[in-house]
Amino acid sequence: MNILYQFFPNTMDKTTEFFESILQTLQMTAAAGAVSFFLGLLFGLLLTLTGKGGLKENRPVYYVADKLINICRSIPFVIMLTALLPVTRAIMGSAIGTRGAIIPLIVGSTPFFARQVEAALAEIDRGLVEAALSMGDSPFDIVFKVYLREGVPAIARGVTITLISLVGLTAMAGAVAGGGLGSFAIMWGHQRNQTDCTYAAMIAILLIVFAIQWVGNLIIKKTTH
Amino acid sequence: MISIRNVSKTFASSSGSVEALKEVSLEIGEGEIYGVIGLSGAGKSTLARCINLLERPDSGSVNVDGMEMTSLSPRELRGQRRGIGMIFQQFNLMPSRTVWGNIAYPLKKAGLGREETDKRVRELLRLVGLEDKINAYPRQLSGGQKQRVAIARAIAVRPKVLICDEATSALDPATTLSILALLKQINREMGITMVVITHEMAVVKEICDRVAVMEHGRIVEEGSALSVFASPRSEVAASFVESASGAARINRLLDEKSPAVRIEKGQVLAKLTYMGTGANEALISQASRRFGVDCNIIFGNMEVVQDTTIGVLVLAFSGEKESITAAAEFLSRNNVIVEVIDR
Ligand SMILES: Nc1ncnc2c1ncn2[C@@H]1O[C@H](COP(=O)(O)OP(=O)(O)OP(=O)(O)O)[C@@H](O)[C@H]1O
Ligand SMILES: [Mg+2]
Repeated sequence: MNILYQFFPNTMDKTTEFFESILQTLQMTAAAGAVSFFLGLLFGLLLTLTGKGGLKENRPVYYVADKLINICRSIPFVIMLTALLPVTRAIMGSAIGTRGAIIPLIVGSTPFFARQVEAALAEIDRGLVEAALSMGDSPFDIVFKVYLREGVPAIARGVTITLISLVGLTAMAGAVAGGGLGSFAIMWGHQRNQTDCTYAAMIAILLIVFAIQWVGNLIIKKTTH
Repeated sequence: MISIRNVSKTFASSSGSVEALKEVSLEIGEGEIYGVIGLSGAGKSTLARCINLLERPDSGSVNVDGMEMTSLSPRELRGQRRGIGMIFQQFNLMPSRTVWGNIAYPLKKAGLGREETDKRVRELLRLVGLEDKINAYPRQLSGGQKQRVAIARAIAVRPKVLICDEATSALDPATTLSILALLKQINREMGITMVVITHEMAVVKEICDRVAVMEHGRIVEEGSALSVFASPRSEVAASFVESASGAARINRLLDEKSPAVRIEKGQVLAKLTYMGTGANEALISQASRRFGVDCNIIFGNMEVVQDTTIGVLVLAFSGEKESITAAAEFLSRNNVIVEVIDR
């Protein structure tokens, strides 16, 4: 304990606030992650199915989805945060705090995850789809029995990468909207020159990232045969 | 059982278009093992995939078991596909599922309960000889074992047709033979009509009743495996036969007048070709005894196609000139083709 007081005097003064920030970061990551997961899967599947050689090849649909994702991905996140203020306010009733950060986080990470899913599904041997078709499977069957099953390890890898980048985005979103470890580091470490707060926030973020990576690896290992 | 009429298919790509099939027609009878042989790019896979409409022909008709495949609705097509099993060169087993899960895959759609499924899976595993691998994942199996699982999966719902697209091309010769034996057994026991795509004449020789030879998207020759093997008419067919038969080597040695075929004065070198079901060897010793000639066997080759022996023997006869002639006539009378090569 003494050591903690020695190295993190300012952080130890406001442990409640520090833990609150950790919790907020986790909340933002979990909430935005969950929504992005479903939306990203949906878009990833849409890209795979409508893309070249896909089961429901459809150029216009693919073109629109593809471009939409590219556009979203090329807007810097900080700009997206401010640009989305009205939308956030309309949907969440507030544009500040953890609640205010979630919409931009979803918009920021869904396209990224959709690409991860698209890449994961592209890894699935085309022969498996052929085999399923030859056994009389419909595209719907193939989505659930081949893509969303044989793709699990690769999708898990995509989820891990997405969540880790999402943790990074929460820090940025928090800094603007308020809340989370990012805002903690800026408010105390940066603006009040209590550097140990910055390091404490950094360590907390690293631990979260390690935990995500560890769970992700575990899932990948358990689902790869 | 399968009737393909004037089927054409062209693939358009950035580097120009490829006519993979040009007005292909063929008829495959029920319970038949029908081979399709050709070099890489001849259009064999495209033809096979047109049967279950994994590839939709640009024109022509594909009729399987009385159903015109090209005019079915997507839903009807899926139903019809369940009656057409398919196995692949790369096996295409689902890596995330065990052997059990892979074989059970098509059974779920067929509406079998858990217990019935389990019973059927075990039955199939017994048939393909892999009962001990029931809980293994595909990654843990050898190529031959994977293909056995794929066969079990393909015939699980008792299809009427089984399409084998280069099913043994990724396997070693011994494993190839064991898989072909299994396919033949299945064909005999279940009466499944089989379409066997291959680029190896040895496969045709081993199991096919009839064979179509493809080149550049066309069928250039068609007939019973025996007739194509014994007397190929097209150049491609001849080169395939040559690759699978020792007789071709004999002909080459004769053409080259190899030292191995040099004879002494008074000897007659002859090539004997015969087709039949067994008792032919006795003819030679009969001829030898009856006409008092000695027969020295220089080369011999025998192929068994569709339970019929195609034999080629190169003999050096020695003895009285008249006796040799009489012996040759005796052999000819007994359906042996005698060609005198050197005297
Ligand atoms: N989906 C496709 N798109 C474009 N071209 C194709 C496609 N499928 C096949 N082709 C072309 O059609 C021709 C016939 O191909 P196919 O796969 O039927 O040959 P194959 O006889 O099965 O050859 P192999 O022995 O190599 O399997 C080839 O020139 C091939 O490049
Ligand atoms: Mg092929």
